[in-house]
Amino acid sequence: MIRIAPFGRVLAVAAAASLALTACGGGEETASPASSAPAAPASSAPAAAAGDGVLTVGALLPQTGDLAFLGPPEFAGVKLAVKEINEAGGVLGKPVVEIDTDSGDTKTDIASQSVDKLLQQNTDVVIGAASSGVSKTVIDKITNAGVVHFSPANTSPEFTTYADKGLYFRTAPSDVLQGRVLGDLIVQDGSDTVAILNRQDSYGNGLADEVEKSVSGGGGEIVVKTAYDPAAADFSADVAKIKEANPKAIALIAFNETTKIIPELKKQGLGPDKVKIYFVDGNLADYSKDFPKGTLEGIKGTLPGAKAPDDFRQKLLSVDPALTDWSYAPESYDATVLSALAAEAAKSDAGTAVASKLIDVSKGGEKCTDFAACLALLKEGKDIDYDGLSGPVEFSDAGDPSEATIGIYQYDAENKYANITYLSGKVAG
Amino acid sequence: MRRAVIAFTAFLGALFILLASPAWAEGESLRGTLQNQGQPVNGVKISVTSGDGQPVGEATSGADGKWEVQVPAAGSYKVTLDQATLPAGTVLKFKDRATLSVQVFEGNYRNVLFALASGDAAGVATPPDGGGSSAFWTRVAQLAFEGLSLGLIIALGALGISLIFGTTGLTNFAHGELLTVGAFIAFVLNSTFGLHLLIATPLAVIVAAGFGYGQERFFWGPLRNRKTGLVSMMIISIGVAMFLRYLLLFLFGGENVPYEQYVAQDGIKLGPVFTTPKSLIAMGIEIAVLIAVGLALTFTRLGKATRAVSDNPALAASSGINVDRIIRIVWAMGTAVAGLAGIMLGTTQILNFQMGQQVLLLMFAGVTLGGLGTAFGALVGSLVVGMFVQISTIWIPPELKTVGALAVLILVLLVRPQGILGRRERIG
Repeated sequence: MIRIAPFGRVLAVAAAASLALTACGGGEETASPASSAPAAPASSAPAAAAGDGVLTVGALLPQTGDLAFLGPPEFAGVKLAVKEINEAGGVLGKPVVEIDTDSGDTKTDIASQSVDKLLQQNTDVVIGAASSGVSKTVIDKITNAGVVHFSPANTSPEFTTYADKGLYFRTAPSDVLQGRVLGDLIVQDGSDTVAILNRQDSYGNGLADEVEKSVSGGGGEIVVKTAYDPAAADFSADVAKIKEANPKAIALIAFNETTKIIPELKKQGLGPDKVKIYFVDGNLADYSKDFPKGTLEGIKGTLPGAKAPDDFRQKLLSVDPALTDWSYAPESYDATVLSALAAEAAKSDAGTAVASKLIDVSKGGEKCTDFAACLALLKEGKDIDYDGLSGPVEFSDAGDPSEATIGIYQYDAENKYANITYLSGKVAG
Repeated sequence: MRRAVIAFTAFLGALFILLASPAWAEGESLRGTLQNQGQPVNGVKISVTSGDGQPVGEATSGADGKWEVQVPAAGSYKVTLDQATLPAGTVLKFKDRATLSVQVFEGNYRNVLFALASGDAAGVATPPDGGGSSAFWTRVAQLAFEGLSLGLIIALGALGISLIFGTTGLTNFAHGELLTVGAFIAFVLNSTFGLHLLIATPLAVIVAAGFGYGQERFFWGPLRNRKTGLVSMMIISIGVAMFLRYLLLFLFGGENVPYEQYVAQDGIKLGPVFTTPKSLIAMGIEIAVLIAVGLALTFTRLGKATRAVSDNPALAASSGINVDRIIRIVWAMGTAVAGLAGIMLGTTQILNFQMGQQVLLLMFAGVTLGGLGTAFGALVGSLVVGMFVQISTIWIPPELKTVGALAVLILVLLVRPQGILGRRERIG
């Protein structure tokens, strides 16, 4: 009755085909991002390119996905900045409007829908995404609309040379610097055979290349460099490949998959008690709830960004009392403040106008460190140099910070990380 | 010293403790620590020349193995270790790397590493470990073991897909989510209600069975009674998959979460293979369940009835079998077994709202490879897929491992379209 032979086969083919389709189009509208601020009242105003008088900041940050742990501090940074800007009188005399959306991760298509939503609401500056891979999927869409794409956390070296129409900026330093510091740290710790296990994406490959350069430049040897598929069901084969090479140190360039990879490393006898393991900004997080005590003890990691000052942390907590991580909060805050200052300096909220002044307000002029003070200077007609919480923020012509601070951290028995030292350096070297 | 003090101790894999170092941006230098198997090596001369051969400075490693040479500016330098000054029994691990070209960046020190090894006077380093071929075979054994482990989990999931397809003709794309749902039911019992995983697991399996029964009773059954076409039902199952997946995302968030027990166990060594106690127990449970289901299908009345419905529902109905009841039981069992697979996957890996989706493709590959609609085919097919996914990484990069499994699927179906254990179907 049902079992007619060709039909079974048709079914199988259709099954395979539509499976492929679901795999691509997986991330439909669920996790629908909540707008924290009402849409701009003047949304019937002229197109964003010309500027509608209201600076609309769209946060495209991870509420879900591999980097969801970075979302809360980043949103809090943006929210705090918007709050302070509006308390100081807003931009061009009007309060800044903030729209929160989810960037998801590279496995889903959430970011692209979020960008559509932001562009429809006359967004002038998109703050995001956290993941370089996600930014790469939306950068064309954003910059083609004449909107500033401003990431607080992208570190892939690719963006330095990307054809972005001069609209892409970031407050996080390129991984050229982080890779150099991490490689140097590995060499300093005396590991002559090093394995790199990295995500197969723009961020992972970029940072892996920089670490490799730095380690082999300092006299160490990369014995195996493995990229993995972040969506894989398990990582045992990837770890087995590393095991075969018998390294003394492993640089683990991962996101949230770390919670799957670390048990696998431990299982195959490559735990932090046996080899030296290094984390990066993508996985340096508080794992006290994920692992039993002592699991990560001794693991070191690097994270771009200076120490978030205590009073800044207090202010962030007033915006989001549930915060436990501070990664990239200063960078998000600075990105928002810089955008507002640039809009004020350009006397327009249009994306292209903001972009034209961003490099200007970041360097060369009278120094100021918060929005109210900078705004006062701008109103006096002075040239300003905003020094932010994440560092001096001096943009190169490509829109990258030209110098930055990298923190080196180490995990304790509670699986929390604490700072050992901060190192500053110039990205170009 | 002009620069701040940096003290660190590191012997035999012990931790480094850096005391204080606001040191960068105070001038450039090259430095390093000479060690052989964790012991500092002192009295070794190291000289630095600039890129064009001008001597810059020299240093001799101290009692702690450390050396440091100030350089005048950022740039490229050549660092040479004088091999004649190495103590007897210590040689450079790589003889051609006595001179390194090192880039020093503005304001930063740069660490330089000379890898040392024990060796005789002739300078032949003795390899510290067994050598390449045994490491290779260890890896092969490890991968075969991992393949079995993955294959068993896929088999549990595939069993449900295969039985449901066999009895109703539905290709259920929501089956991956049934794994995830089972895993998260156990998670709720485990972490919200504080039940130990050993208690939460059987409870979750029972709840999952109820969920499967309810799905058939109130959703798929009525759809079938309304004569909804199989292709439409398949599309609906894709919708159900998305609904369940994102419902879980909404309820539990997008981050990986572990169960309360058995997280990050230390590895144990079984012959050449590393594993964890929890993996072994999980595999034991999986094998036991697979055998039990297999025996039930072969020997019990219910199992025979299931196979009869699977063969020909109309004939089964006319011979007195309550087809609807059988289908409901198949759904309940299929979902329960899928839920168990999800819990096992969550225990040995981690919980995530996409965990089922990540193995769905492999389950379909297993079912199709083994022969659509045959329970034992699904078992064999899944094991083949699991093994192939893992072992193929010896030749292909690990990020392509799923591709390898699907290539096998295509090849097998080209030769044997009905799958490994599938019967060629009669037409007419």
